[in-house]
Amino acid sequence: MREVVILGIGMHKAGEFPDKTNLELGRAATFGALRDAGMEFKDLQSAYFSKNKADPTASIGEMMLGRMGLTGMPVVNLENDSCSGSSAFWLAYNAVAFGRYDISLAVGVEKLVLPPSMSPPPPPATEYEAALRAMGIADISTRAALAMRRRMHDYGETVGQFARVSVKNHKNAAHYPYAQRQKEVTLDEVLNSLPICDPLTLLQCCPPLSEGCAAAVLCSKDVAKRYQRGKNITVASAVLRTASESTSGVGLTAAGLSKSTAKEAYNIAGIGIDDIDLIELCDPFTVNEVIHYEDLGLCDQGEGGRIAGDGRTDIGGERPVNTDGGLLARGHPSGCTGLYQIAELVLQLRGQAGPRQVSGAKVGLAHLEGSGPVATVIILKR
Amino acid sequence: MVEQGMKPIAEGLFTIPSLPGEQPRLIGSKCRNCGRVYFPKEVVCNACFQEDMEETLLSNRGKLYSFTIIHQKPMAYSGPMPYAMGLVSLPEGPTIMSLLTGCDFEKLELDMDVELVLEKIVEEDETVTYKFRPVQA
Repeated sequence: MREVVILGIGMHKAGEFPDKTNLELGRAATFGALRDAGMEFKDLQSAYFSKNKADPTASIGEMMLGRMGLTGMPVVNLENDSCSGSSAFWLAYNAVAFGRYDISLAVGVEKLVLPPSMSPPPPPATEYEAALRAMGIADISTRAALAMRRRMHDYGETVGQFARVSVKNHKNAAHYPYAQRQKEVTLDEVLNSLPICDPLTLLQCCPPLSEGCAAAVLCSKDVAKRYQRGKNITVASAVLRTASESTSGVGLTAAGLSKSTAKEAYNIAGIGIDDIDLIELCDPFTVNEVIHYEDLGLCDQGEGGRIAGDGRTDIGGERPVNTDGGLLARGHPSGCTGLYQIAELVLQLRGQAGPRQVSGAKVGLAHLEGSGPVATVIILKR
Repeated sequence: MVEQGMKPIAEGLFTIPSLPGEQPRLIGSKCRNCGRVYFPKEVVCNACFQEDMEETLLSNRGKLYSFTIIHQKPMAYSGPMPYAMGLVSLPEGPTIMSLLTGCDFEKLELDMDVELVLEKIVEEDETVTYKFRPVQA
């Protein structure tokens, strides 16, 4: 396997952009990444696009790239729920690491056709799935609420500890110009926001509507020398896994899949949690951040809530988590969330994160878990 | 009590009692090779990859692993608001996502004993589904 570096990143702000097309979002991020890499469009050798599951655009990558330049390079489009953007990155990484191409582009884009509340639901996979919907118990938010209540019972966690995650992530996003929610919130505001499914409240959920685009240019280490930028970030490992028999039995309050995915990523990179300076992880709801602290090895099972409460994962704390606001506040345009995470790690490892900068950051980890289930863990180092 | 003319929310999820005193049961499947039990029924055991499954009726009592009160109406749901749902652990292994009924929300407790009942989702509709309710002490 060859060493792979990230030469450039580009982002469009996350949020709601009713007046912009997906092509406009895509161009902003793609040209941004090329500029950042000091590269021209014609230098790209392959491209991997991810989009959200509701966007029916056929061959979105070809559609976009065809309006930026025609080079004949291979383009693949994918959807992998919350892991869509990180899956595009994974494909781009593999293409370079295994020597098929020297330079690859990963782009994630999310343009909502209709608000989710107006979109026709996808066809149910089974009659049982249709029954769950008719019973009103199929929403993903209910699983978060069930996990919160069980963890409060088993580990003595409090709603305040969960809410504290939202306060932290909103505070981080307030210093990030590409974040969707750039306004700090108080603990009381989080706890007293609209009840969704008890004890889950609105400000403990990622924004329901989110559009955006993020991109990264990956390159073999040797070829990267042609584009001397003096700030290349190395991909130490990029792992994608789905459920296995050993992880499928793990219940609501722990995510065995994320744990096994992280373990493989640590092994390949030859490092452990103690070597990680900052983390971007999957926090669609506050409780998920708490659970994933445990999966990624920040603490033992049952200690996640305490860590959230004591500031250890704040910027300035022992190991900052979701310095750009995470899914909760930067936003979760699922087609590109994974690439926003990569962008934030790259900014941090280059020392370009401004007021969010984690001082001396050398190694960062990005984690996502989506429906399937599917999980990705990517470790970057400077 | 299930009356004549009611239709199940989906085929193959539960039995409908035909005799007085008979209890409804969820229908699962059990792997003849490794013994793992699934709900709803599966054709392949995803633990040992065998296609050797037999239909099995599950216990109509379990424990309430967790619950939540839902305050925002999901798109496909037309029952009363707010409403309670929970995750019920059955002795055979599976945990069942289910509506909860026959209870004050305030009196729900984790690990309490719950039992299976068949009820309508909406009063005006004939569709019945499985639900769990606290076992009366």
